[in-house]
Amino acid sequence: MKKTILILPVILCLFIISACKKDFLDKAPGVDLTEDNVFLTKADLESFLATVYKYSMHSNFRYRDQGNIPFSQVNSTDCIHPSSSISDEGDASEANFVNNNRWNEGLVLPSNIINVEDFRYFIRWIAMRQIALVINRIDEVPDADEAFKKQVVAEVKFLRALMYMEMLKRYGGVPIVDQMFEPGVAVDVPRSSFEDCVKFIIKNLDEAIPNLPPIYSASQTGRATSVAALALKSEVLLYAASPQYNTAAPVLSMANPADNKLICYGNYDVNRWKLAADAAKEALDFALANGYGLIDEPNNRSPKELDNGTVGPLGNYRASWETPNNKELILMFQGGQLAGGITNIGNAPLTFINPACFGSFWSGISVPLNFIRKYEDTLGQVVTWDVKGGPDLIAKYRSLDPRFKQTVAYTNSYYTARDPIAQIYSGGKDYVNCKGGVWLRKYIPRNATSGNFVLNDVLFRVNELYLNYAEALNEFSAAPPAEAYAAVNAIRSRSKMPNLPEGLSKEQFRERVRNEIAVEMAADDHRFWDVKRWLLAEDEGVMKGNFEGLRINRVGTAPNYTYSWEPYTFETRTFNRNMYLHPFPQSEVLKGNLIQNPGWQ
Amino acid sequence: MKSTYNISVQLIVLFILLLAQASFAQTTESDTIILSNAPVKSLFKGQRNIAFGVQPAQHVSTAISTVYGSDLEKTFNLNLGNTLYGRLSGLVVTQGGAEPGVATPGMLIRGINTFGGASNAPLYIIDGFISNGTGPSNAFMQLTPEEIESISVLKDAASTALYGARAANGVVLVTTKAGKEGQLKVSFTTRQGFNQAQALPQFLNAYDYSVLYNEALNNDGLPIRYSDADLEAYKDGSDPVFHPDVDWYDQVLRPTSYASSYNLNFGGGDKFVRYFVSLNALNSQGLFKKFGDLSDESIDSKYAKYNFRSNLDISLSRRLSVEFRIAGSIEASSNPNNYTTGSTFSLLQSLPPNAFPVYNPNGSYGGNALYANPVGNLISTGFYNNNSRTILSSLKFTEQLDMITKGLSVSAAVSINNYFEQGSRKSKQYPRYSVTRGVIGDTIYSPPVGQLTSLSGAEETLDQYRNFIVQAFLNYQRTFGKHDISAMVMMNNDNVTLFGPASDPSNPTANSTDPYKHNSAAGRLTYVLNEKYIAEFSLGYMGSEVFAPEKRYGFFPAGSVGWILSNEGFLKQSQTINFLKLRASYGLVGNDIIASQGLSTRYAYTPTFGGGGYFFGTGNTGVGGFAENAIANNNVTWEKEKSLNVGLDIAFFKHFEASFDYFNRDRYDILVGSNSTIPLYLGVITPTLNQGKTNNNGFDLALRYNSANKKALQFFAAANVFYANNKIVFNAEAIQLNPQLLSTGNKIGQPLGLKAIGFYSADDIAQRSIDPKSVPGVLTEVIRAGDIKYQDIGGPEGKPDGIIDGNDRMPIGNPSQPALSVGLHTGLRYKGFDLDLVFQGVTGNTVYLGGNTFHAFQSNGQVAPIAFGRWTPQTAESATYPRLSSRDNLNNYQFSSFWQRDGSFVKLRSAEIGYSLPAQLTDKVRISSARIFINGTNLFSWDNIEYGDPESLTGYPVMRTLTLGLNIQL
Repeated sequence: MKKTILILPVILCLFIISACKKDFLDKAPGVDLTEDNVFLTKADLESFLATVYKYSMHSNFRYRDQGNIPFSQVNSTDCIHPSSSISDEGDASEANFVNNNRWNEGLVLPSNIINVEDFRYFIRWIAMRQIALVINRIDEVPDADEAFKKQVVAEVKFLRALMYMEMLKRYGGVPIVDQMFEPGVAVDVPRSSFEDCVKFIIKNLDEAIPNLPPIYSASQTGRATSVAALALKSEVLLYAASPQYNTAAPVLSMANPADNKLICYGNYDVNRWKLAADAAKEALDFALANGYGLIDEPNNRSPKELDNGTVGPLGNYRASWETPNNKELILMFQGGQLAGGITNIGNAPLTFINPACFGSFWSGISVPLNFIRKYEDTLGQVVTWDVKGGPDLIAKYRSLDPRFKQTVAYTNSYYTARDPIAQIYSGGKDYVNCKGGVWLRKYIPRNATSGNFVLNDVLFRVNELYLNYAEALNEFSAAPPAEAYAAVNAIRSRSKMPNLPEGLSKEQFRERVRNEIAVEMAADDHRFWDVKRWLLAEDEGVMKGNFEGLRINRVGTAPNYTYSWEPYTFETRTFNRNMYLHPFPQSEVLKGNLIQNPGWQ
Repeated sequence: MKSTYNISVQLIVLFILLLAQASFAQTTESDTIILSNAPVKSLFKGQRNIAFGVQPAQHVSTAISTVYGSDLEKTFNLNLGNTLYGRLSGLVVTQGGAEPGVATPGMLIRGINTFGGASNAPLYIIDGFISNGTGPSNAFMQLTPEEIESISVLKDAASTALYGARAANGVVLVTTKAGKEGQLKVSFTTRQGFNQAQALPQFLNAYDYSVLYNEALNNDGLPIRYSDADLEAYKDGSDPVFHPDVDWYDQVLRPTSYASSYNLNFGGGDKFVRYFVSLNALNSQGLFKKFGDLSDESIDSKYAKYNFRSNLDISLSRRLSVEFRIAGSIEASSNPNNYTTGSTFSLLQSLPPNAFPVYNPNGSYGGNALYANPVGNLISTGFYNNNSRTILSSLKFTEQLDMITKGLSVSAAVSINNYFEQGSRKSKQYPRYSVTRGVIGDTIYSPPVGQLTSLSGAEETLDQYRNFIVQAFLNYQRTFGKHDISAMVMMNNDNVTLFGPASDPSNPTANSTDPYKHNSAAGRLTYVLNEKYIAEFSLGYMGSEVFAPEKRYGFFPAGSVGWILSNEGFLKQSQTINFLKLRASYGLVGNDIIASQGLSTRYAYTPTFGGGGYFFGTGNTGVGGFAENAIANNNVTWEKEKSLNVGLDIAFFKHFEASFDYFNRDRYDILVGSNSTIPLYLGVITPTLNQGKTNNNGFDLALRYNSANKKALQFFAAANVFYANNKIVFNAEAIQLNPQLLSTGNKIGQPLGLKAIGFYSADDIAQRSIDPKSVPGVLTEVIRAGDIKYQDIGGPEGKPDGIIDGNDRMPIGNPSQPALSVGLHTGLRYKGFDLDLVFQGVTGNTVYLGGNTFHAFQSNGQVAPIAFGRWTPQTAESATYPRLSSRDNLNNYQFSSFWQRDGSFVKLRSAEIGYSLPAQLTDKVRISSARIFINGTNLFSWDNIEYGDPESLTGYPVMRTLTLGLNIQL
């Protein structure tokens, strides 16, 4: 009996000792990462930098990088389209399904801006914090040499400038955040003036340019180059000189007029056009000197693609967006692995910019007549589209600027390997919801057979620099100088378009160069912003008013079909003047740090 | 082979001998372990199970309610939780889904007290050890009433403080039956019966569907789809291929399915060894037709559960005793198409009756790109078997240390529990075709939707956990004259390893290597003076691994006092008041499940890292990334609750008893987000902070009536009432333009939506065409007459703005949890007959009519009879439903008060009528008693919902079960 008396107390003591071991409740070791890990080695810093790129680089296809970015607070079907379907460039075939179509309905609100256009609002700020961290602590990396460190700092400064430009064109002046908020520091930074934001962007670019290489090895393309930084600088200064900002008074005044400096300069200064022109020239010259340039094979200026679904040679214009890694590309958003085309992570762009009628895709973009009218004929004359219509649509299409058939798929044209012949006529399988009469096909490569066959989308390309230069130089001068003509004609001639007529007035040249920008940069995420910086968005048929499409009927018998056409208004869009600037997200304004843009209170 | 045979023969002989011995041993009726003949038990007599111990009922000064296994046996159900409706004051049980082995009811002790990701679930304790798992894997839900002695609900801080940081949501304390000294007693029960759906959603037939669809198209300004000839064909059913009229529920479900149960209990023992053994088997056929009989690639749906328990109490010596418990359950379910039936029921609820025929003329399955064929799904997509096993085992040694001081004892206990759920599936796909009639009347088949694939199989672990618990106790219990003292100190240490979907399916390995651990010490001191004055103090000290090292441990003190007035001189002789006690308690308890238990949210005191990479190079080569996700909150801690309870126990006029408790619970340190006030340009996910607060107060009341035992007609009634009123005192939420959208100040779970104020009239629409803002409406939809009109309360300046949008939402209706719930257990006994009824009623809750059952034609769905009340120009005055629309209507089907209904109900949860054979008869066959009975569950529901059960509008229907049973005791 005595033995058992001892047994229990002994067991209990052992148990108590083991339970009281200090580390009993400790977490398993080896899973904790901290900020310090970023700076342990050069390789760690490179991984960190990859995430900085992922968070900083925007895609023109809004949804494209959404899947893998944390905390975006956006549903998978919210921002799924490039900005094409919210200007006169395009019309989303499944309008209800495409959230950014709310722009056309005038239903953009401070409460839904994140979901209808700017789902990167939060992600950008995450990247800003990471950039500040890199700049603060890069000296701690033991195995990195000075040149590498300088290049990394220059890269993140470029990315910071890129993101500020993306914010500037949406919101005007925004808070300048170049710090990591440490615990105890009040997170309270007011909006900076438009001018200060431009200066901040230019400062970051000027600091970055000397330390960035103009070109990378094949394994490193996609990183920021000095050419990209110069191109961005050209774009920033062009926007800064534009009527929306380079003005004494904004379109709509802020509630307190003293705050107007947040959204414009507060005066007009013609020298801002000079700065823009110089920056464009510097970028263009530097690009050309480093092996970049327009793709211009004389034989491919006007490709002879037959109107019966037969594939033809790749035109210069099309090569500039369809050929991977061509010399015209300055900076691309590289969203996924290359495999046949680019295999994207998550929802691939083709799923959204391909219409449902072409297979298991969700929503295509048709191009309204409003935009098709911008295509001149091959002689450089304006094309009239009779309100009564006409008997032979293919002949009409055939008369247009060669860039037309390289930008859209029309009835009987070659579309892709998956769907060679487009059937866009009443009763044709591809006519469903194709209100404009043609489907946008730019960025859909010929070999596209699945939603994953997509291209890197272009953030900067050499052709943009020519047009930036032409536009700015004309605005600075009393009459368009020869250099301005030369820049536009370089773009036109590589697509076998005749030169602009001599002797245009400043105003006439402005019209022509704006038309050229629209056609050349179609679906490149320029039009939506350009019509706003030019203050044209409210004009009839641009972002407001009636949008026209084509009723197309097939006449005759096989194989001698003809296609008759007749314009009709398919919808009326709304544009309110407050839409020249985005509203800040409602939830952010309510936190009390941001002054909301005019018309959005 | 031979030896097996021999063993079997020996076993049978042994069994017969045992039976013979048992029947010879029967002498008096009082020896039986039957409790079914006892009236409902007293609230204030006997022993009560409390945290880590037992206490005489009259000494209890905390808030505890108790139900006995013998009562629960009279509710036949596959799941223990479903036997508890209306049984215990303060415990609200809400019907979840009804699919056996998949769904379990919700259980809340004294309502909801927290919000966000924190757990509301009570702590489940089985024989002193925590039970893990949620939903069907919760070991508690798998127990059978026959193995349960009692279930107690510990409701106030003083009764739960020993459980420290896990106690705030209350404790469900289960004590299983132990053997009693005496001869072997055997009880055998079987029930045989059938299940049927209590209610199934009703949908319109093809003719009515088509007529309404034409009307909907017409309302949308679209051409109608069905010609008069089509409608005629639907009406007379003359063309079942091109004009089918399929009742898909009828095609898939059978009206009744078989259910049975068998239970065998043994109990007995002597002064050295006492034993209780229970075996239980439950079988239930599923509601699906026997599709397994139609195809090798399908299976008949069924559910079976087998339970066993063996509880041994052994006195090893005069001082040393041991309790050994081992129990387990095995669940096995089979279904065609999937492990569960959810997807089948959602398909049945959407599929229009005229979508396609079940089979095409050539024998292939009908179907289209939008909808699969439910029959095809169940016959031709393979079959799924699910097996789960639970083991609960424990061993506890107790040694009396009377040689040190009288009344002192020491105990040590260890428990190992395990749950494992495994699935085997065989799956395939099948083609289906839609048919159209060709020009010459021929049948044209579409290209197949879905490809025929061969059957492929997989085995998978679906869920598992194991826990390991060690406890040590020092107990002291002694009476010195007027002074009665009991004291206890203990230590508990548990370690739970989870693996499976319930924890964090994306990170199973990380979770399984990192167990959930608790370390605690606790003590309780109870002092009773003169059987009149009671004082009790409890203290829990607990540490949990989810908090930062210096923030892990906390104290949870609580105290209670009681005054037994009926033992005072002035009441002692009272004939009116037989017992009267006042109680009060106050204490601090915690809840450490402050966020969902996944790895990503688990260690809030550490920062989280991880980010996607990017693609560089001409070939877009992937480069891995690394980034900061959320910053840490080193101070994160458990939720705390200050809980007050004041109670009164009274017995009067001999037959009546009442127990009333008022409570007030202040929960604070609830985890809330901080990102709603910090600008996003901070650039990082901000940590969650312990800042939320709630208050919950109310009362619970238990009443008992027992008629005199000696009368021929005996009647009893046990009622309970529970009322709670909670509100969010503080929630760090985003600032809203419309302050009505703030949850602070509202009830927890308060729905926010638009307030419907009737239908737009033709005049409204005319006025809108002149000035759209004169009659407020949404911008997202073209509004027509007959659409639901909403109240315009707020615009950008907080004033009505003529636009209906998110700013016009306001609190509408009530949360889904009832505010008031009532239970009534009543019955009578006359000669050999007995009757037992359990009612449950709730009110103060709202149900929402959503989905295809109520929203006509939305998402290409079907129509229910509710849509007959639709608005038309002719019925504008009397319409009860908005105008029909063929498209997904963005106005009418918004979350609004229009679709809310009062969720009150009274349900007859179970009823049993029994007849016990007269003793003269049973004596002759040497059995001590025999009783036959008829049992029904979910027999009636009185409620305000015309189209289904207020607790279960969709999915697997709630089962009504009718069984015929027999109980024999030896």
